[in-house]
Amino acid sequence: MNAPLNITVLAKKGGVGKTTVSLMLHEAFRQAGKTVYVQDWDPQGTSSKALALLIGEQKVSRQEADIVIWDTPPSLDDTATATAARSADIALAVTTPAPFDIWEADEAAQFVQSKNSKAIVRIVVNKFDKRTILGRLIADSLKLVSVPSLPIMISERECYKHSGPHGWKVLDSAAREEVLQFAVALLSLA
Amino acid sequence: MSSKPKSAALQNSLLAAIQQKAPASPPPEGNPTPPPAVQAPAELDLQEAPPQRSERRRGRVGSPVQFWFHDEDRHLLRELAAWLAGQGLRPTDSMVIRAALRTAKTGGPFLQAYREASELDGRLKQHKL
Repeated sequence: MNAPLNITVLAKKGGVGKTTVSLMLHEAFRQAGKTVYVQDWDPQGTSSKALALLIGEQKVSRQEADIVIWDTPPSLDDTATATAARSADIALAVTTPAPFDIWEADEAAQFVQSKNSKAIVRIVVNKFDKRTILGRLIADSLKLVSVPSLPIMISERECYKHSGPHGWKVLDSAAREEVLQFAVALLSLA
Repeated sequence: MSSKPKSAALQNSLLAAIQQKAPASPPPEGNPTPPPAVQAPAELDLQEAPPQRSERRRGRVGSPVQFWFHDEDRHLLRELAAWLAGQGLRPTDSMVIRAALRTAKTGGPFLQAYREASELDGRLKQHKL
């Protein structure tokens, strides 16, 4: 049996979109016929609530899944975050285009590197909007961080928020393409 | 006008790329490999001790116990063990249970948890019938 691919999604602060990214990845891999297990260690339990609506109980255990996605608490001090970082094959430090968030994502990425030198660590920009000033400055903002970012950014789209309880079916074509491209970019790292 | 089929074709090619790149587990029937030792069922270490063993270890304090655990209980146990692992410890199932017993507090939440556990207990259900 192949070992599952462990993808840890983390951030030092809340509200940047860890759960949205986790659920989007879950949906993308599920659409591709992969078995996915989401380990929801965020005390808010939003991933678990959304998955309960989407698929009911998770059908596979963590050991049986092709891919395990670790959704972590919004803190680097939490031991669950440290455990998820140690388990990661790929770790994604999620940020918005705001510089404050990018600084915190850099710290989160360095946190993973300190816990797990084998993990591939990338910054993920969520809520990206190229029409805004922050969106236009994103390339410059990302030059300040020590860890590379994924080339695919997750755009600010209402359908992502809507998809929490409703899943893949409420995503429009552009959103689906973006999420799938994001998943492919991610798998290309492994 | 042709954007929809084009988008669908792109999505299909991306899905194919994911199928190709992501790891795949074999189907369940072709999977006789036992789970790794660290993820073994959550019975206590002493459960399978033969009777002679207790004679050999006469000076040992304590006695073997057997629990019936549901998958949900195992899941909770693993989460606690994972948390302890995050603290740099290498916990055993026995130690996790013993630590949980020492930190449990009586009161409303404990009563509620007991009721929820009772709902799952097959033996109690039989008695009720």
